[in-house]
Amino acid sequence: MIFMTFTKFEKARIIGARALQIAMGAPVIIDVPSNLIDPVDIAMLEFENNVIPITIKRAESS
Amino acid sequence: MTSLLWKDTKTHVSELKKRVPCDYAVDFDLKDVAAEDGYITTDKKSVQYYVRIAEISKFKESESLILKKKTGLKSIIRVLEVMDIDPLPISEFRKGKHKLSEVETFDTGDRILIKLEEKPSYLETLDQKVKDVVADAKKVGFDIPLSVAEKVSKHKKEMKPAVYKKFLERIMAELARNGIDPHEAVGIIAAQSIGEPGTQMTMRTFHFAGVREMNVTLGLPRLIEIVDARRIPSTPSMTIYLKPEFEKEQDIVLNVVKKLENTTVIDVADIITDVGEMTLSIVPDMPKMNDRLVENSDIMDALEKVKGISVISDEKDNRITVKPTQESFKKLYQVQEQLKVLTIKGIPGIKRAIARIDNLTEAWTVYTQGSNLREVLELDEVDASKTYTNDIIEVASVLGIEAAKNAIFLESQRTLAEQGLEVDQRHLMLVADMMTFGGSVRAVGRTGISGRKSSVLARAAFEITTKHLLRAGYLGEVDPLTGVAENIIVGQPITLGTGAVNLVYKGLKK
Repeated sequence: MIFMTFTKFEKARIIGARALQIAMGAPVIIDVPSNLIDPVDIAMLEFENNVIPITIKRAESS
Repeated sequence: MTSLLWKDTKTHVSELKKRVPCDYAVDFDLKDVAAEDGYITTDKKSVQYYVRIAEISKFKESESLILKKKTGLKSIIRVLEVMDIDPLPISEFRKGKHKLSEVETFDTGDRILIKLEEKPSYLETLDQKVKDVVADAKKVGFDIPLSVAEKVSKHKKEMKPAVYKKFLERIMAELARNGIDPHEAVGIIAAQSIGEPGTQMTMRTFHFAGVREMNVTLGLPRLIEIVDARRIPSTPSMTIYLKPEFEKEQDIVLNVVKKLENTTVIDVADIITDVGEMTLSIVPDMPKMNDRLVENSDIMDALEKVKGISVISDEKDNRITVKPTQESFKKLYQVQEQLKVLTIKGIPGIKRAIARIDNLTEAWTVYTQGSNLREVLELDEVDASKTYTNDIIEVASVLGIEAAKNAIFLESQRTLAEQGLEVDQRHLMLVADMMTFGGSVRAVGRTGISGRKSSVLARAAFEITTKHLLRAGYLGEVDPLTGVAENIIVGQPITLGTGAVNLVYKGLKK
């Protein structure tokens, strides 16, 4: 599987969207250490493990 | 190859054409001339016929000769062929270092031929070592910037192959890290990066070091002038470089200065009106004359071209008396006004020219106040590839829009550098690009880039809100909400940075 390379804006947007879900009570996808409680940190951990079920749709280049 | 040029009548030429090959006896001495071809002019200003010459010999009586004149014949030209050509101006011929201006009877000159060559691409001109580095980088998987490749090539020998490969990989990573991501707000960054140092700039005009009457707008006023794309800058000036063969010869340089400076009669002389005698006296001011390298004969030459006056030169008194042929006060006044602005010499627009020598290279450079790029480039001694003007609009009209883009970039960079401010060149390049991408130089501001945005709401947010909204209303304009200002107005995320990212659900991994 080819991993997509994200720009800093795309990375921020994905982590932000996921962190919002976690903050509102969504179940986390991977095992999270018990001392990790900030939703943004959890989202970042998920992002690094490439498990967030969100991707981006880029505008078609003309 | 030297060609022979001479003046002749049409009847002679047609006779030559009829009887070629033939011998043509001419009345000028061609002892030292060795030419294989020639050109004939009938009006001194341009050549209309091309002649192939077999040989030139001394005049000898013979029967088959065509005679140019009945007496005083000196040489014989053996003509092989005469051809009609499209008229070429005499100035396309060069004798020694100078262009010819007129052919009185005969002359020799070389036709100036301009060779058109395709410039090799920059990569081709580079050293083989640099090319190797570029190829190595391709193998690693990226396009190395040539400036970096040049630096790397110098140190390639010091590195072991494994280290060298790692080094290239590191460069690739650094390049990727330094690239600008899509949707970065580069315009805002450029604006801030130029604007902040701009607050530290001076508001004053500085004098040109060591030269009186010469000053150049610098600092903030100059920067504003550049981005406003003014038709005429407040202090237009040129830096004129001469061709390598002339730049070290003081006489030629001073002559160029003389040719450049636009000098009128009032600049070097006083004009005294004598109402009783109905005459005007021009009294040359010697210090001013010497300063501007003008002689009395120059004034006389200029006066010759004025119609309706008679000129008497008084050598003893050192004054020139001018009398209108028609005796009336009105005419006298008119002539006086005319003489005041009469150009003695020079190029229009160039007020002052000063030559300065570079102590290291001993080469002269001419600095001018006022600018006229088109006519300065016409001068024979001027190196057109180096000569520079700070008038951006003039650059655009003479050299084209790409040159104007470079001029905007160089001028703004120089203005900032002179104040000791460092702004990354890419910000200035962005500004230069934005000002010129439409094919003409456009100002930044109400009349330029900001005033011509396609979105109504963006324009209304910038200036003259009601006018733009009203106009858009009755024209039924549609706003696609693609820009920044319009999205802020309607309360949407802007299409920059994270706002430009569209998220989609991709499903969980199975």
